[in-house]
Amino acid sequence: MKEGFTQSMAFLHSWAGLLFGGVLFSIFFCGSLSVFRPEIDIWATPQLQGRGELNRAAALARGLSLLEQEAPESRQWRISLPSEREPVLQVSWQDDNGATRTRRVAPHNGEAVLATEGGRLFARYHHRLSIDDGRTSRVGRWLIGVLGFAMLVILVSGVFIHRRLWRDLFVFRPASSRQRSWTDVHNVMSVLALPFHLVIVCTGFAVNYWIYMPAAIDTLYQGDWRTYRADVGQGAGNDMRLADVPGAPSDNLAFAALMQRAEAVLGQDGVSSITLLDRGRETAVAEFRGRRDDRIAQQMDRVVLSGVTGEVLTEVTSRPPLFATQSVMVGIHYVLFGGAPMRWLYFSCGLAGAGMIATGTLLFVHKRRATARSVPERRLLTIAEHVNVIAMAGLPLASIVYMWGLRLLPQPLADRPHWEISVFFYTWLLSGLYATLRPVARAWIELLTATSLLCLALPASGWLLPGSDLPTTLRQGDLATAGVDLVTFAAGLGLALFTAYLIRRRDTVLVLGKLAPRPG
Amino acid sequence: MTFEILARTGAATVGGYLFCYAAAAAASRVLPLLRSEVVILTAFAAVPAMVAIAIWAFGCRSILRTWGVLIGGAIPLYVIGMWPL
Repeated sequence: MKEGFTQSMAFLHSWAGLLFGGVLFSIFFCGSLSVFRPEIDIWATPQLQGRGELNRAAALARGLSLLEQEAPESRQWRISLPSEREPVLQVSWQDDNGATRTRRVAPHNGEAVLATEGGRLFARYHHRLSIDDGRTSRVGRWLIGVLGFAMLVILVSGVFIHRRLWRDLFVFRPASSRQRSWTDVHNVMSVLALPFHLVIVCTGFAVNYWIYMPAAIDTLYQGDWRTYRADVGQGAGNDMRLADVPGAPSDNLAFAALMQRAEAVLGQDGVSSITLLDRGRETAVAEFRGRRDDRIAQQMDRVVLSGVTGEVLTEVTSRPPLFATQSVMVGIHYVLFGGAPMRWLYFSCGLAGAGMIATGTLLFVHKRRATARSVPERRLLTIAEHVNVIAMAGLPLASIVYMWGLRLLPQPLADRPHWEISVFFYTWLLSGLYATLRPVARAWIELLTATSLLCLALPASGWLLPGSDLPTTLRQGDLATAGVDLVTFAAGLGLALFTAYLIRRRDTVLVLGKLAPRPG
Repeated sequence: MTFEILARTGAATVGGYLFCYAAAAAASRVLPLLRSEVVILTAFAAVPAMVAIAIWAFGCRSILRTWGVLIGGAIPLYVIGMWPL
């Protein structure tokens, strides 16, 4: 603008940050939690406690016998094999009316596992604001796209403001004015994790890229995105359609022989799911899908075999270069690779991102407060203060209450995921109402205190369910269940110390002078 | 001032998107790749392009000139992209 480049970047950075800070915080926060989606699922499911070592061969045998027993006549069987991180065996079949029936069981004893939203709530919130259901709506994903764009613009403009980026990184002035030490915290969290922030937002676009920029679909596919999706899926879904009429009964190869041929392509233990069409008939076909937790790329390898002769009908193990690039970028976003160290890196960088957004937004509101003269600006800042406390203190409270709900809601409960999701959003709504009725500073302290107490107490919920208590899960070496308890406890401890620090320092940046009245 | 901010925000968002859409449509007609690959390439290229346009829209001296470049560029690109064969 008129005042020069750096100033206009500062204007863009701070006002866009103020406008989007609350909702961007919520996306970074939920995205960080969804790194541990499978661990939260296990933690919430008592049937998976004491599961022991995973035996994939036994799980496969159990899946086949379950289908034999439930749906011997069905024309379509599907088995999704358990993995170490997602130890649930899922079988589904097509019933007589053409509807798909699904059963999810624990692989070690065949017990039906709890139907729970689990960690998926956080994933769904962060990639579609929990709005879109199925394939009908794109509103949530479009909003996320707009927010991702805003995030990138805020990041890039922030880099332009900081010409002294490298020097600022090593500056921390806790003893100087509070505003300055908060600025230092903001800079450290932004700069240290800047590569992560840029990569995570950009790769996020790689997931639903074709929704956001469909220009080439409009020109080359006449806007027919379904054909495009089929094209890019390399036939997946098309070559596994049931014929209208099943073929005549015929001898089939034994399943073990088919499996062996598939593993010759996909590698030992390389199969993640199996679909069988028209078993025992001339039209028998078997599809084997590869795993995607043993590589970065997310597009699964695939082999389709004739059930009669065992010949390979389709084999997809390579893909065109740009599709392969997209697949790797999605993999970088989903972080199924790299094991626990990589997940912890993502988790901490993601939370640093949430912290960067929180400190930045709070700082800016505080700075404008000191100079705001006009009534509309003061009103805007008051609204921003409330949005901040609702997003940054209300969301963690809603999340921990949701975790309690996962363990406390009755186990046999019709439509349980729906109830779980309601617990999350109603808690958030109520804490938001509460925060608008209380003075902002009080609301901050009270919501943070409640959150830290509920986090500290969360391991106690394990004693209410069979085999889920902390000593038992630790003894069994169940790092998923024990880990969620322990990490939440540690988070509660950290939050309690932080809240105590805020109260003791009467921190003016965070609580905006309500605990410590501003002079004048 | 208000007009200035609106003009710059509009250029950074709607203007940038329409320009990128037109550019992607034009590129899709000339890129010698599989058509499914073109969709990925153009959609990926649009992300940094939109961010660059947004930075430009707020950093430039004259927003009217920026709008001029965006519209002046988008129209021929759109025509190339949508030209019936």
